[in-house]
Amino acid sequence: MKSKLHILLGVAVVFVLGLGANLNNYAKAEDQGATEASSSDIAVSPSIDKLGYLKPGETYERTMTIVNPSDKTTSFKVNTSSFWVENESYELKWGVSESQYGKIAEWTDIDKTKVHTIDAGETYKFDYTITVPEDQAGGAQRLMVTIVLGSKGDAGFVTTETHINTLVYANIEGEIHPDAEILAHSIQNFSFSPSVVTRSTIKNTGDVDLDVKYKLYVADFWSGDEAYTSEEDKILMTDSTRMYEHIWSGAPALGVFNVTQEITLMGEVQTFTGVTIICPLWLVLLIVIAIVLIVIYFIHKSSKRKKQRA
Amino acid sequence: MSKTITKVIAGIGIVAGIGVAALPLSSYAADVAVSFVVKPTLAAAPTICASAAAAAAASNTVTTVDCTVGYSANGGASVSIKGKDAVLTLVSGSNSIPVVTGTPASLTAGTPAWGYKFIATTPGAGTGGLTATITNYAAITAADVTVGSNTAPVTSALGTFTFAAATAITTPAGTYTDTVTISVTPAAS
Repeated sequence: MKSKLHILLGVAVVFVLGLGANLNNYAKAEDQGATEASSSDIAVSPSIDKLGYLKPGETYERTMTIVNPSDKTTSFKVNTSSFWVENESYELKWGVSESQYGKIAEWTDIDKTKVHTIDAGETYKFDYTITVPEDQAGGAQRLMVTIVLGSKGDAGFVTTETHINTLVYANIEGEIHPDAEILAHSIQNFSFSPSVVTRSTIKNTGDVDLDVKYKLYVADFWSGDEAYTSEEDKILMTDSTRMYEHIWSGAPALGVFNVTQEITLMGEVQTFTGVTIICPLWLVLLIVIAIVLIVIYFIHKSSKRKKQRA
Repeated sequence: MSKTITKVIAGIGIVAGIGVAALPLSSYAADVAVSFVVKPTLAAAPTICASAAAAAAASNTVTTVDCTVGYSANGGASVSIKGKDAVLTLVSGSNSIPVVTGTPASLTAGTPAWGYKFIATTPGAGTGGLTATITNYAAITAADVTVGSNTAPVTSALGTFTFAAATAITTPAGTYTDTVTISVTPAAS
């Protein structure tokens, strides 16, 4: 009897040591943000330009930087349109828009017929202006500025154009009604994979684009030590509902965590908390099998004693 | 019976202990506060095309053109293709070659049609990139068809569009053309 207890005790020690070794071993993930164009790419920056609030009657100058790292001269034209999103996943659509939020393309001074030329290895600064009409009502405006590149080589019967699209967000000052509501929020309570996931769905019910700040804070359940922190800024466009998943994809394969998410929307911070348990499927199965066997063991032992007494 | 159960539990415990110890976990990283601004940037190469039939195509043949596209992005982005305008046929004056019907593996000489397919040759370093494969010929559409996307930075993704046009013996002579747009677009921030 004693030897059996020793074996079980030993097994428990091995398990706890293994568990402990890893619970204290998770990473603070680092964001990767580097970029590098290939030798033949034309790089356009900024690809996303947030202008903030513009005043009616004012003119705003913008500059786009275009780099040609190749060994050949390249030419391009510039075009403008508007953009919008479809569905909660924020699938981007673009084109000529009759929407009240796409008028900015009409106020943008860009010569769409001009051919711009960049020599090999050169950096080109492309300037344009946006003049907001005096009588423009307040609200969001969205502009897409497109760099249009031709093709090289023999294209035969097909002419190809490569478009590098850039997004410009602006809100016009005036009588505006910023409004939004968080429709849903959830924190994944259990995960077989090494990740912590929160989901939030927010609807913009106003007439200006809003900035939403998401902060994800993950702490070890037992020690309270910080395991991961991440902040993401997202835009919430008018007439849209956005579902956003804030994910810690570099979480350890095993652990229990307190998860806190702060959502800052129109100056107000809303906090959501929960617990996420991460455990691989194979370990869950082993634990279940072990529990079942232990129960069978004690039932068997109990019935054996009863027989001996009888 | 008890001995057997004890041994099995012991075995499971050892497996679990070793397994837990061997779980692929990473170590703490030291905090170093280094900060500088990198503007959101998109980079794309002009498509490089190579026609398989540089000379004018004869009637009752299938002609193909390969066009390579590449892109890099330091934020979420997508790559898509569509017809430049509402006219999706290959046009030569008042004559035209229609877009392919269905999604055939190849076009047939004698049945006028044109279409495209796509293969991602290099997804690109990073997450996502050009990963879609359109193995059969499809008709060009007025709406964008996405052939690749990324949510994290991606570098030097490459893919090849193959455009094919089939003519019949009755196809009138002429220069048939259409323009397609390949767009590289940032995701809504």
